Amino acid sequence: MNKKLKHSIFTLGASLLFFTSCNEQSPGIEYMPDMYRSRAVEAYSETILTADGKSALDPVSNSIPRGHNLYPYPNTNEGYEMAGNNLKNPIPFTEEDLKEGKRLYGNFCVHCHGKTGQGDGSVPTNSDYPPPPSYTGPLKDLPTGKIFHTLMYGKNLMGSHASQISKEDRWRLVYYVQSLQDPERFDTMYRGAEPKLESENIENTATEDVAMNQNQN
Amino acid sequence: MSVFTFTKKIPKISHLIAVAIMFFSLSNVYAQDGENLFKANCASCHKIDKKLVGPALQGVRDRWEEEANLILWIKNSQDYLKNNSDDSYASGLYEQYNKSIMPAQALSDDEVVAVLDYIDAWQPATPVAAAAPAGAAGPVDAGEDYTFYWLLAFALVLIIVIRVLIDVRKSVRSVMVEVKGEEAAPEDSMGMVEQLFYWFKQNKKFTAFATIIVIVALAFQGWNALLSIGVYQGYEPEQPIKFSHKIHAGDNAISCVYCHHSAEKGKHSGIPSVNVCMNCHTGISSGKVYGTEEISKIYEAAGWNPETSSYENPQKPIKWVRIHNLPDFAYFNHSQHVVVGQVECQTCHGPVQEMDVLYQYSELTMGWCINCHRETNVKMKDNGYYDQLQKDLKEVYKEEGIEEFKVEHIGGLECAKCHY
Repeated sequence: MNKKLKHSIFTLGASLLFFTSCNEQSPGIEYMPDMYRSRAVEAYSETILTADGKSALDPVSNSIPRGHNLYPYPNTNEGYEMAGNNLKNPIPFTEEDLKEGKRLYGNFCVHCHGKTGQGDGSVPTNSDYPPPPSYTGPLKDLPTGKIFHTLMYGKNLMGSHASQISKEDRWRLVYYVQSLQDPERFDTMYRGAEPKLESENIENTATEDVAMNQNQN
Repeated sequence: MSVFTFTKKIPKISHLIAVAIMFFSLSNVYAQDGENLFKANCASCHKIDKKLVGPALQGVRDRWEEEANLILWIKNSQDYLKNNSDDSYASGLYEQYNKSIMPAQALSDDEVVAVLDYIDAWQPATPVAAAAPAGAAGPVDAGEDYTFYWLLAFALVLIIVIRVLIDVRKSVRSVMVEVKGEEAAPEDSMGMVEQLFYWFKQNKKFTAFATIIVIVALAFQGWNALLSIGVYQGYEPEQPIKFSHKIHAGDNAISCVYCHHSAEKGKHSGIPSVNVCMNCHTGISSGKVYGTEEISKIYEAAGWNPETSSYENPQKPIKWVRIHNLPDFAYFNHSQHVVVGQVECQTCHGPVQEMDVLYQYSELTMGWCINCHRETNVKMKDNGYYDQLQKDLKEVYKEEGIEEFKVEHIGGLECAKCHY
């Protein structure tokens, strides 16, 4: 009887051990947990130093990072118009910037705006999420400054992307978005291409005017 | 088009009647047009049955006294406000929606009417997926592995069968003893366990062999168990919000770095702050599996009030459970691997786009790191930083004749690269 009891206790213990090693809710046995759970505050760890335990602190209010320029246009209708009229791309155009803009577009924009900016990205086509307006439709003539302003603060359903994309990268994205709006106008604006000869004179001057306006802005 | 130009010359009210008549006669064509126009020009900000950026459009015709005013308002709301400052409904609407300007629409009157007709004729889609929430818990539970329990039940049945067979054998034997007068075997009087040991004693060679096998197997298992100490592989904790990477990165094909944007810029591939969630979830308040239950937790964390569409409540941090964790003494930098090394996220994190609940795919042990550093070629092509180094390395490894360099050749196995 005693033997049998011992036997069953052993079996129970072994199966319990088996169960604990199978539990996906636990990371398993840790040897020297100090080395895994540091005393020092690690990124995203919980801490006793703040009231809500959050270690990722907000920057001190009204402080500005070194080398950071303040964005002068407020998040209002007036600011939007002002940015559209005054803001120009501070990064001199290079083909590398455009290429990087395309890569960034693939990371940050394509799932809503779609590959060519038609508003047919995977999110609106997959769900009833409203599609953004097409770059070649209502947004065809959106000026440089308004594109940047939209990335900065968001517009309508689109949220601000300033926390995800650095300022320089946002300007590179503006280049790529403009190349999607109108490739011909883009060539004229940034690559110094002559306006196409086969198109009518009136259209030519129109493109030039837009280009001039853009450059002045 | 000729019909359109003709109608434009007719004065306004008769014009509307004409358009209405045309509509009824050609309703198929126009309903289609209206839908396309709505999708191209309105759907970014308006839903028919729900408030979005702008108001829900169902019954918009009834809300306006004059349809002509409504058309003017749609075509250019700012001009309309300027010219009709006495229209308290229009100015009230503008104030109510936080003075967000509806852009002027380059549509003809007919096209606007087509859109309005489409809105009138619109019917909500029949809820096909009504049964979905009932099976909501399904996808998560389906992952549980019942093999062990089946094996356990099978073993129990086997033991019972063996027990019964032994008893049968015993009674047959005792019958034999009684009937034929055979001598009783010594094991007949023993219990099950004693019988087993008796059998072992009779078959010593087999017992020795079996013992060796059992000891080796146990040692092997024990060794593996020791090696798994401190390895989180397969760790799949329940998170405070039932976030599915499958829905976001898989079905909706959102790039990993959209949310984990710091993976390209810094040491950590950051946990996205809640404003990144809100970039999309201001517009999506209900999920396919859990309805509003999980998404409302984001709203709570962000302090967002979906009723008023504004951030007016206090914010609360979300306590995500950390899965991937390297000990303090090992330095790992995401940007170094993702940008310079051009390593795919999936190489280390596995098929995250297929995981409803995220788990740790790789061991993240030192042996695992070292192995990869031994096998992976450094992407030196088109990277000016490596030009000189590549030349120098070719000189150094001239005798071995190595042309393609692995991470180990540029110091990827040096202790102080990761431990300092």
